[in-house]
Amino acid sequence: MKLRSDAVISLDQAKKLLGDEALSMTDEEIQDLIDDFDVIAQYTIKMVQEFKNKESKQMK
Amino acid sequence: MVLSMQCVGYVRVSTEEQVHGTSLDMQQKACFDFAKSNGWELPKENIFRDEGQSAKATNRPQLLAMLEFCRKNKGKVDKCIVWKLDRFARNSDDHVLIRTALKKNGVSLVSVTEPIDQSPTGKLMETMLSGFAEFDNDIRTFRTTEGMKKRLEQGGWPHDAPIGYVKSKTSQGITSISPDPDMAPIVKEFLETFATGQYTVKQAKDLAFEMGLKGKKGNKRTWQTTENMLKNPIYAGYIQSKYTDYKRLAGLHQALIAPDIFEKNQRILSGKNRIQFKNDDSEYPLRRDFLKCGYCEKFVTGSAPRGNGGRYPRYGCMYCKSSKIGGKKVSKSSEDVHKEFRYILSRIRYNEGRLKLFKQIVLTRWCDEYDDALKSAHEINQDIDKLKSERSRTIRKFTADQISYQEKQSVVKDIDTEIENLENKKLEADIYADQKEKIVENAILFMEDPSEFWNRAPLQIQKRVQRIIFPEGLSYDFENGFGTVKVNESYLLINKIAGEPAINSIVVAGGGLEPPTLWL
Repeated sequence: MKLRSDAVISLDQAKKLLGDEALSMTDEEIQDLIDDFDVIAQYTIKMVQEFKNKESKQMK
Repeated sequence: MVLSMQCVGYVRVSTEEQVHGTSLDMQQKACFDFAKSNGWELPKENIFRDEGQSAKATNRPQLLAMLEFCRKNKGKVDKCIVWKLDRFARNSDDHVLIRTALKKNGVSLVSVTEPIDQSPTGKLMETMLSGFAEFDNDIRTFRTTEGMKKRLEQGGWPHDAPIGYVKSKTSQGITSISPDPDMAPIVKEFLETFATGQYTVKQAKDLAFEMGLKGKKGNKRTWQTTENMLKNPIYAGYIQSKYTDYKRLAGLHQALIAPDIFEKNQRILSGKNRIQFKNDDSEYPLRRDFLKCGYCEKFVTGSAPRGNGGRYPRYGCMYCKSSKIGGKKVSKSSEDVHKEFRYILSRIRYNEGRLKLFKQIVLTRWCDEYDDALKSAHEINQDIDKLKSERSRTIRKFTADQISYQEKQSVVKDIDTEIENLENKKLEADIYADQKEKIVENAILFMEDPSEFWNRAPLQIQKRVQRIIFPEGLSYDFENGFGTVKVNESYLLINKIAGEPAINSIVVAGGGLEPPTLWL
C-alpha cells in the first residue's frame, strides 16, 4: 500500500483539535500521534475506496 | 632482460597539469635527453608513466611497478631519473619512504631539473626540495579548502553531486547542483515512501533497488549507502559538510523533499517513529514491543509448537519458568490472547479531541485523494477522446480504400478494448469523486469499532492502533489475563471493563481514551 508522507496537519492545528489533552503531551508525542493517525486514516480510506469500487462494479 | 647497468625513468602528471602543458611526453623526453647527455642507458621500456595521478597517493600503479622492477632487477639498475622531485611525492614522509625503497635496491634518485646527488650538498638539496614539495602541496590544499568553505557558506556545493542531482552553476556562477531529470523523481519518491514509517533500512535498500536507485555498477546499494542517503540533508535543500564543521546551512539548490519529510525520516532512523516488525510477526501482533509478561515485565514472545499434525501459535515468556512461579502458566494460545485483547478494544472509545483530530486527518487525506481522482478522471477522458478520434480515422481510411477490412477490424478491436479499460478506470475515479461523504463516514466508522478494525488490519496498522491506545504497552498474566499485576497510575482506570466477568482483570488505558459511556 503506497502512502502519502507529506505533512497532513500542523502541530498547532493538532493541539487545537486535541484540546486539553494536548497540554499534557510533548510536541514529539503529538507528532507521533499525527503520524499514526495519518497512516490509519490513509489505510481506512483505501479500504473503503476498494469496498465501494467493488460494490459499484457489482451493481453495474 | 637487463644485461648491464641501466636507468629507470618515472614520469607523472595530474589531470590539471596536463592542461597546463606539463605533459608526460615532455617529461619523458627530458629524461631521455638527460640520460643521453650523461652517457647513461635508459631503454624505452624502463619508463614508467602515471597519468592523472596525484602525488599525494602512494598507491600509484606505475610508481609501484617501477619499485617492483627495481627490486626484481637489483644490481642491474642504478639510477631512477625524474624530471622534478615533486613527481615523486608531495610530502617529505612519502619521499623518504620511496627514496628508501629505491636505496634498498641500490638505486639512486636523479632529477633532471634539480641538482641532487650523493654529496652532502646534494643530499641537503634533496631534503629541502622534498620539503618544498610538501609545502607547495599544503598551500594548494589550504587554498582548495578555503575555496570550498567559501562556496559552501554561499550555499553552493563544490563536492560530487549525490544521486538525484547533477553538477551545475547558479546564475551568479557558484558551483552547485540541480535535480537530475531522470533520477530526481525516483529519489523523491523513495525518500517520501520511507517517511511512511513502513520500512527498516534493510527493507529500504531493497525498495530503492526496485524503484531504480542502483549502485554505480547497477547493483543494489548497500544498507550503509541507503542510510547515508536517508540522512543526507541535501535532499531537503540544506548543505552540510566537514568544511562547515557539519553545520547545516541553507543551500542554493532545489530541494527534492520538504524539510518535514527529512525530519520524519531522521525520527524513523533513530527508532522513534518506526513500527518494527518482521514478516513472521503477522501471527503475533502483540509480541516484541507491546505485551509484557505479568510476572517479569519482559516482552512476551510468540512461537508455534507443532503437534497432532498442526501448528499451535502461542504467546509465552521465555524468561519465566512455570516451576519457579508456583506452577502458573507462562504461555497461552495466541487465539485466546487475541480474543481477550479484542474484548478490551471493544470497550474502548476515543475521546472527543482525538476523534476530531482523526476526522480532520481523514478529511485532509481524502481531499488529496479526491484531487488525484479528479485529475485522473480528466486525463482518462482525454485519452478516451483521443482513442475515439483514432477509431474514426481508421474507419475513414477503410471507406477511402486505404486499408483493408481485416486491418480496420483489427485496429478498431484494439481501440475498443482500450476504451473499455479506460472507461472502467474512469468509473472508479468517478465513484471516488462522488462519494466523499460516504467514504469519510465509513472511515470514521472503522475507528468507532477498534476491535473489529484491529482484527482486520494488516500488521503495521495493528501495531499503530496498539501504540495509540496503549502507548506503554500492556501487561499480561498468562493465568489471569490482562493487567492484574501493575496498574500505571498515570492511566485512566476503565471501571466498566474492570468489572466484566469475561476479563478477570483490571485494565488500564492511555490518555485520550474514555469509557464507552462517553461515546460521541
